[in-house]
Amino acid sequence: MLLHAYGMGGTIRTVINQANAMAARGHDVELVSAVRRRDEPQFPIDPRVRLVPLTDQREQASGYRARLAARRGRVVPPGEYKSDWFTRGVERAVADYLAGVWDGVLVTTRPGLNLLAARYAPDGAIRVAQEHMNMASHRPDVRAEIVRTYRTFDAVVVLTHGDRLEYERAVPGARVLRIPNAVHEHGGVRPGPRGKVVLAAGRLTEQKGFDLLVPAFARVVAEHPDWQLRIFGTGPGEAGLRALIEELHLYNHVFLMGRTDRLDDELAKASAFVLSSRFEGLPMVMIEAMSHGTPIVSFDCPTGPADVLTDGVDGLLVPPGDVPALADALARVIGDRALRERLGSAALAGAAPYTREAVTPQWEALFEDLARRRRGAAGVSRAARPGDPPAPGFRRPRRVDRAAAGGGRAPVPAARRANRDPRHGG
Amino acid sequence: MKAHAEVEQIWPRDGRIRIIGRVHNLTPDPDPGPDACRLVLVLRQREDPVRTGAGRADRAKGPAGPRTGPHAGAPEESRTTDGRKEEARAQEVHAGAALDGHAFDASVPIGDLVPAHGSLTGVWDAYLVVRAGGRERRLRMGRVLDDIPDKTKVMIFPAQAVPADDRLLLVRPRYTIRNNLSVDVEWGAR
Repeated sequence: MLLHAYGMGGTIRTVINQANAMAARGHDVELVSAVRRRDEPQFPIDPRVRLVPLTDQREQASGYRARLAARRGRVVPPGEYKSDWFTRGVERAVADYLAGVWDGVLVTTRPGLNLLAARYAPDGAIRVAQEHMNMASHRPDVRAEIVRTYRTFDAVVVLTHGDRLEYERAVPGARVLRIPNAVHEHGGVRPGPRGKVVLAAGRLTEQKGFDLLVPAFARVVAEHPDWQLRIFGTGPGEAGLRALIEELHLYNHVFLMGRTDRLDDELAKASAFVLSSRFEGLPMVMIEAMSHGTPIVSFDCPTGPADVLTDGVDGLLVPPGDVPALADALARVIGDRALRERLGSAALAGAAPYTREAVTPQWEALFEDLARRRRGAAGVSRAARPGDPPAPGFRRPRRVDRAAAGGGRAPVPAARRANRDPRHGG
Repeated sequence: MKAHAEVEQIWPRDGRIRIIGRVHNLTPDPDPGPDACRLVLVLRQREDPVRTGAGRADRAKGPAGPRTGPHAGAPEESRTTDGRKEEARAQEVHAGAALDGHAFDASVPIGDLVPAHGSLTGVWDAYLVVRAGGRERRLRMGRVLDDIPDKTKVMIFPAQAVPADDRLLLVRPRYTIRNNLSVDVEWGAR
């Protein structure tokens, strides 16, 4: 379950990849989007994956509906970074959907959805909470709810080793596992001639630290005036970054490239990738860059870069937020072709554990293990249905009339509706 | 490929617009004499404001005789009330440019880019005039040789202000949809 399967962004992309990979291996996969704000998903979805939107926000609601939509939900705390999205209507639709999940494996993929699952998903389902962010990045109200509820999940899956230790410490008794996101396959884009280009990519938000990267690159340009920085992505920070570029007279050297659907080609022809984030979960674009043999320069921010990179081997790590150090590391890479080649080929090897082939079996092993535990504990398996290949525990229940529901709220089976009024699901 | 003046850097600062680049697909004469290389900006005619790039380049190939002063190409009649009447020739601004082999370095004061006749706003298309093979050639300026296809949204330059009639005119270089270089003159916010 995603908040917005129709959006752009690292979490959305990796969860869709994961759903596609599971479907390709014969599993029955439903991809649930709590919200729908676009007609079409931005990333390709395997036709075997059923995409189920729970609320449709494509049209500007007006009047009573708009006022309803503006009301904040009651479960997800305001500190959730996407708390604006968790209106009462959304929370209610998610709760209604969850009430109908009574077997199979439910994977929720961000704190707001995890907290709703902890509250509303019935015990019958195997519940897995996925966390794409490190514990310290959550605001206090979200952390408190995590500490309170995450132990009720069958498993909590995080992206890095550092995160695993943190969540284990914070939530005693929770079963925390580390499974990294899989990097998407780029179908063999061969690195061509690389230009005098340093590439960065991400939403233009404070988190990505482009406001630190631009001044760092100003120092680089003073020494290497024939090099460019290209920042791919869109977001609310665009006007501020544009002003910074003008103020530093970098309009010939730093370019806000906007959105691209050919990031692989761009990564393959850049001479270096730079990550300037203030924090990360697991920086997937960085790993994608590595899979193209592109050398990495990165802040050693929490968490991710240090999990993936070894400083001086497959990339350069500099203290988080240290602009002069970032500039020095970039200048080092730009000025030393041999270093770039060495870092690049090591990066290619460093990306191997993040391929689909390496990651998907870890999920399968986890789900099989959880299903086995369930069966062992209950004596009788609700999930095991005759003739359910290849992994009986993963099957979804048939739910009434899903197709007819269209983009609207998922209906709750009649039996459930009888003893639980969905209108007061929140 | 047609000859053109490939732009590499644009510096809109300190009251000037400076343009640095290389002449492409043409070898300029080695010792052409003073004023042989010039930056020429041609004001688009009001009647065809949507025309850009190549269409204009063809029209601008007219005789390029010796000129002096920033508004040498301006028509004789003074500004008319509706500003679009009777202009026989497009207004032009000429500015100095240095040429070293194929590399050019040109610069124009932004004050020269306020049209002398007609409306105070408009769009200037930028050309580089060089001597090659003993005759004067007028080359459209643009940036087409790199791997960024759509520069109009990616390579964005700051505006500089010129006071006019108690208001501010904003002068801003930009790439057209064909990646040619033009300069917009627009009213700033009051």
